[in-house]
Amino acid sequence: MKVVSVENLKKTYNRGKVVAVDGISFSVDREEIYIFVGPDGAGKSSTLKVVAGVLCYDDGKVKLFGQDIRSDRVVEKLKDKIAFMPQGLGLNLYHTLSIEENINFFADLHDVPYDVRERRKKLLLEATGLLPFKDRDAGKLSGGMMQKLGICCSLIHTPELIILDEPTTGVDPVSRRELWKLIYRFVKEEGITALISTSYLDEAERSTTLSIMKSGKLIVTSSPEFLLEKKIDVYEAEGEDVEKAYDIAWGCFKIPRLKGKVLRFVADDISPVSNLSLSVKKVEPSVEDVFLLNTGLKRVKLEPFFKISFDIPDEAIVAKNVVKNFGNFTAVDNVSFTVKKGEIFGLLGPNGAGKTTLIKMMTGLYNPTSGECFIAGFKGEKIKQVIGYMSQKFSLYSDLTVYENMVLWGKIYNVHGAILKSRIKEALRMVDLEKYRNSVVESLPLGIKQRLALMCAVIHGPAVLFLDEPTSGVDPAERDAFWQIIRFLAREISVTVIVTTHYMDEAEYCDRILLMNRGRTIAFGTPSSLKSETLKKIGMIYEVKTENPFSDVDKLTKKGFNAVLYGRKIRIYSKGILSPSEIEKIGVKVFSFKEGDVSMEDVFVFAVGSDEF
Amino acid sequence: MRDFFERFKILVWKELIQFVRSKGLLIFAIYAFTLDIYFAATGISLTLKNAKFYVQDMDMTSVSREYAYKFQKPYFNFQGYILDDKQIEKLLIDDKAIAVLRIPDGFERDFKHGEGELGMIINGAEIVSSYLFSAYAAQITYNFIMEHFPIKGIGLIEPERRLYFNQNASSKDFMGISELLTIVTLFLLILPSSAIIREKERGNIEMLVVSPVRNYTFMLAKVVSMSIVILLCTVFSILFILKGVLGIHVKGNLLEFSFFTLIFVFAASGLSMFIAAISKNMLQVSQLSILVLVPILYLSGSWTPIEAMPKLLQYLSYLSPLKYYIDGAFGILIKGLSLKYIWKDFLGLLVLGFAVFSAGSYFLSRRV
Repeated sequence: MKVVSVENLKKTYNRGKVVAVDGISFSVDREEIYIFVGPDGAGKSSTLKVVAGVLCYDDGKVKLFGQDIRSDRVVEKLKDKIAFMPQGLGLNLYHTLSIEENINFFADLHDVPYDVRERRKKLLLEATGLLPFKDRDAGKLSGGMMQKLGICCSLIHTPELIILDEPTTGVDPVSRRELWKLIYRFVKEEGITALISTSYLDEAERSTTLSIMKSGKLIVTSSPEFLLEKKIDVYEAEGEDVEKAYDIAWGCFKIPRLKGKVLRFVADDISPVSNLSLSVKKVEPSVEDVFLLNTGLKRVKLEPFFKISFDIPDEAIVAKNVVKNFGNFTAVDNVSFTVKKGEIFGLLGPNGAGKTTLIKMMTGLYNPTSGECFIAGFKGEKIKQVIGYMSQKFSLYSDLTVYENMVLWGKIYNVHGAILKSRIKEALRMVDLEKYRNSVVESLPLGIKQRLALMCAVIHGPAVLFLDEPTSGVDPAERDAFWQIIRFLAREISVTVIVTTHYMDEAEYCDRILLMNRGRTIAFGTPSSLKSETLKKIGMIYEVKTENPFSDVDKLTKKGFNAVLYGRKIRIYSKGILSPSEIEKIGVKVFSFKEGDVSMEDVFVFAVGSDEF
Repeated sequence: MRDFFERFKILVWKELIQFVRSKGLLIFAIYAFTLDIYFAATGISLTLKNAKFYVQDMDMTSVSREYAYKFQKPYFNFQGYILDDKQIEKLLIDDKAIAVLRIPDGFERDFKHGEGELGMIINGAEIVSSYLFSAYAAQITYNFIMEHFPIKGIGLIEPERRLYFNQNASSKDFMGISELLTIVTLFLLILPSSAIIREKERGNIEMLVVSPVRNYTFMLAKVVSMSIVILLCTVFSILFILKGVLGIHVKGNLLEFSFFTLIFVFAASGLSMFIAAISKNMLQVSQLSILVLVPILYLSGSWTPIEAMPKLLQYLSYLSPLKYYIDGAFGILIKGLSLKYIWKDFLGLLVLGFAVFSAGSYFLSRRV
């Protein structure tokens, strides 16, 4: 019996004007981890809500555990078997209740007997590592911890199916890895089935079955292994002429993406770039490649539409021993760094590491408790005209139109009259917003909003641009377009860009990275130097495919291997050189065994992990 | 300087657009400045109208019937004669009548001897109409006696009333204008603070603080734009609702009234900024607005004359900006005075407004 089976599901909003889900069919077996991946507005949430029985649907058939959920009576009966965690950090939690009170509340909702509740609560709190904080208010937790608590609350009544709507959006890589570990553990130990949505494409590989969703339709449904075994020729090129190759690639190849100093593309024939000084190698396709092949990428054609109105020193930003205390909590603890003019500078770290606080001090929103920040040699009021800022939450006026917003921000920053008009015209044309010119911002998709927010932030020609998680939840094609603009601003107009992100692939787009944890700097350098440093510390990384990855990873960790489940693959970090036979010795059947590359995520997790202990 | 004015202009313009596009607020404003005032002016009456009553006439003589006949429309509404005592209670319980007149047997005989008794059973549940009923009835009875037994040698003293300002003595004028002033106050409390909180909630305020916009520019733009909205609504309401639909005689110069209102705007928006400074979300804004509005209304004298309040409250009423506003506004709108005759209210409002505005903007700028 299928746990979930959906046929021809249709869901519309606004009396049929907006089609959210457009006739999709899928089914989920017991113990599956079924992932929906897709951009903001693809219809993932609507699908999950329908399956969870919290949203009515227009047409189609939805069966849970073999029973049609059209009638509310059936849904009521099934509620003890299902758990649903809605989208948004800590949205299902009561922020003024403690961790323990939250769990108790959810247990009481489902009539869990006292002794069962206590036993299960202990198990869950230990598994999530929340036990030491059980008396803390849920509102005071970091994003990652909130999501863990959310999962605890969903699992307290031992459901058979858990439905998690974007549990990892806005959560840092370390917490994300822990969340996935938790999900795997309960799937394996209790035989539950998980239906999960995510906007991180790399997470899709962790599924047993994945569906790529776009505009209410399922584009691809398959197991990740099968999907990635398809014949796609993906190449990565590195070398001096990489920027030149990027221009050529737009004409000859499919989905070219410039990832830092690496160009990635899909091609049948790579001869157009063969006489450039490049080293081209074939790589394994990723879910992102498959996704983008289906949705396409767009080139943003840019021309310099403004000049920086200030001469700024080569050291665009100087931070000297910056400290920020909130009461007796130190959010930023003695951080120093300099950013060069025209650099793309990445600020990374787990939730609550102090990135946003640091940015707020640089932009003048907070005063440092001690230490100093100089922006373009200035301090205080004077920096206001020099900087552009895009805050974490979308913060343009959503009841104004695209054009009105640009006029507003232009005039606020003292750009007037004909200059303003021509600049807005140019900006809208270049980033392809002309057709939205008179639309009210609220109705636009997230990717478009973020592009507009970026344009508003640079309308006055700032020398330094601060972007606080500008791409959270944005679809990959939009993110690529966004980064094309950022790259252009930095390279062609020499705007200095400070950016924070939770997408590890975006970290590689930066020239240099500052990695923070608990308010302090824990790593600093170029992405490649950080990677090689990390690899030196780790030793070797292996990617292993085995017969039963869920139980095998347990066996490996028990034997002292540093093994992590990654989709159906197991990643093993080892000081010395390993051979497949060493693993097979402990009763793990190895299908494939190869050396893996160190990723930015490894850098992040390793640096943060070694900082904790 | 150009930068400042351009910035200020665009911020005011932005507020106006946002106000027009926020459907809920717009509909509320339109309702409040039109229908609400209409309802208040026509629905709430301070005179006796159509008061239903029965007569239990056990005398049934020409004098008793003549007496009952004195209770005339439109103030009174004669419902009929009854006989039984039990019926009286039932009529009053069912709210079929405000009062029952009891005329005892032998009323004419006793009356001609210069004595005699009358009974009046009044339904006290509706305090206003019962109060008015007994007052009117007492007047009628007095006149009735005077007609029949004029005091010899002096003749009948009959006061001739001349009403100034509101010649019809209709409560419509009073209620309509005082409701308008209340609505103006309500909106002055809610609009600026909610415009500020909306920006806090959506995170827009961070972008503004980072930008070259100063706190004071930002707050002033809010107050100015919301004042424009409220002034326009007020003038519209006076011209089309008070004058047009309700036919209230509005005297005085509208420009002078607008100018006087502008001074009031300062005082009230200071309070509004104070509300914005201490609230975190829209819910708190609306709760706090009610909390602030009610004492201001009580102390303003629009509900109860200030002279009728306990001494302590009389002193406290000097702190209610609405008191000066209502005094002055009635002066202009009903008495047709010009500003120089209401300079006391003008001055009071100015001083109080300046103090409240400075305090409010100080609190807010520290919180932004």
